[in-house]
Amino acid sequence: MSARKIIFILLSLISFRTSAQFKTDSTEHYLLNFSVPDMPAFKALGADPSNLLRPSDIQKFALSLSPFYSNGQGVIPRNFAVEFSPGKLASKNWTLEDYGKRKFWYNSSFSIGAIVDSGNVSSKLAVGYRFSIVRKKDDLLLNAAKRRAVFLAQQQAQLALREFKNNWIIIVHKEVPPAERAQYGAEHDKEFWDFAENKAEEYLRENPDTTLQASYNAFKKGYDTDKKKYYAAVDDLIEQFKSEHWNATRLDGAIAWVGQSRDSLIKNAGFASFNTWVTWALGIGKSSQLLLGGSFSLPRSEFKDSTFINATVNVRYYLGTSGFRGFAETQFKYQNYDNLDKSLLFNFGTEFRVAKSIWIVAEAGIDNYLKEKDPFSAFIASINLRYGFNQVMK
Amino acid sequence: MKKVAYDPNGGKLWIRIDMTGIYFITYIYQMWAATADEHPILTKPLRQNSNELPQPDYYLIQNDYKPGEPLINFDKRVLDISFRVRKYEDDNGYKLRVSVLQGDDFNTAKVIGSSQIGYGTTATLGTDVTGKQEDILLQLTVKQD
Repeated sequence: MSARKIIFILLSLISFRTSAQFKTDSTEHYLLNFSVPDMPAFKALGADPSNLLRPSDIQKFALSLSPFYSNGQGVIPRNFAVEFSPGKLASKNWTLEDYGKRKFWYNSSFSIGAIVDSGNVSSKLAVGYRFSIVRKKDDLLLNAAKRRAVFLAQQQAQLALREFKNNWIIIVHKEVPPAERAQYGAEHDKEFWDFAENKAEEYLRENPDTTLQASYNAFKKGYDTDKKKYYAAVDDLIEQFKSEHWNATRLDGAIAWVGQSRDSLIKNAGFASFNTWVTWALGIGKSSQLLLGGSFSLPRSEFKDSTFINATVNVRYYLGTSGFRGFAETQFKYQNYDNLDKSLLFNFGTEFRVAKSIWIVAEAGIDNYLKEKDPFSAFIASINLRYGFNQVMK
Repeated sequence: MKKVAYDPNGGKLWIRIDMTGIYFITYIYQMWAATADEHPILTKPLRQNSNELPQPDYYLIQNDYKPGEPLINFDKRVLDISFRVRKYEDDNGYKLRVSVLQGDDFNTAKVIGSSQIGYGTTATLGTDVTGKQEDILLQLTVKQD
């Protein structure tokens, strides 16, 4: 098992969430919700006070599951979540030109989630689809000027490195027969880097050579001595782009179908609800982002005799940087069942990165403000750890 | 190092480079001499390009110091293509392939050998995190009847 998978499982196990309002004893909800954030299939299962579909990058593949097969029959797993993007999985066969044409498929995914409540509520299975549309100028691979700058920086650094290594083979290791030089270079890459980082200057003092010296000087320009890293200029360009576009304007949308079964048999699952979300993230300056979200769902009643409606409108405002930001949110919710006509949520929180792919999201607020006599009795609070599986969360 | 047998009495030799995957991929192609009485590297300037523009990339295999020299002289020379693969956000996999073709016109030339990375087993950066160097070496050898 790879280190990445182990970290993913460990993080799943240590995720936690507290709530003063949720009445369902269903810690599995939080585990599912944490494991793969903002999958439509999770959102459809309804464990989150905010119904805002937060814009996030599509996962290539993410998985959390327990047995699918039990006692000789196919069953809905107690905890099950998977998201996959066929476009990302197929992209190893794409050229960059293909990416420009098929970007929509690259940035869309399918998800499946399931929960089995510990109470008397039946099992639920949700199937979802989501997509994300980002402007060309906010995508480094499609922003021609910025992309070109990265390619040029990489080519310049690569050329300097290649010429220095060629001279290391030809001049420093002149004993290597000509027909074996290429193989020698490929097989002694570690030795070359040891020379480049630690021995070149001493060697050149004792064995002055203008050609080797010139190529070493060019190499040094691309070498970050503090970080002990080559290609630092390329890294800087990419990181700078990400930092400047964390709040990129984008449109995310999702749909999900939820099925429900009184037992855990898949064959007994019937329609429970259909859900849609759309969120428009609007970048404001370099440090703010406004999210305008809406969702609409059609749950089926217990006796299939009426049409219920559940709709929400959200506004969330972020202020901060690519690694740390705070947010304020309000949500208006309307539903015509479960004695809840209208409710209002006020939520405040923060998101900050604690490691390259690990984020802490802490939030607190007041839910159902319109209904409670003592609004503060509806206080909610949560802390989530989130792990970006295949990229740094935007 | 893979050997590619060519016909010393046949048409011109070409190298073709194919790259797929949503990464920043740049490469340098150079040809190493096989004997000590010539320049160590026969490609001048070094050929350099990337996957930014539509592909494939191809070049006439030649000694830039002696264009048009007989193909028999290419025996034991090594084609050295070093790639730099850098991810933007995702590490979904990439494929690199270098092919040698023979024929007077590139469009009708026949592939006589190739070497590749990422075909069969998906190549990813994995523990190399953001970027990785990949090398493909092909040694030209005269075809024995």
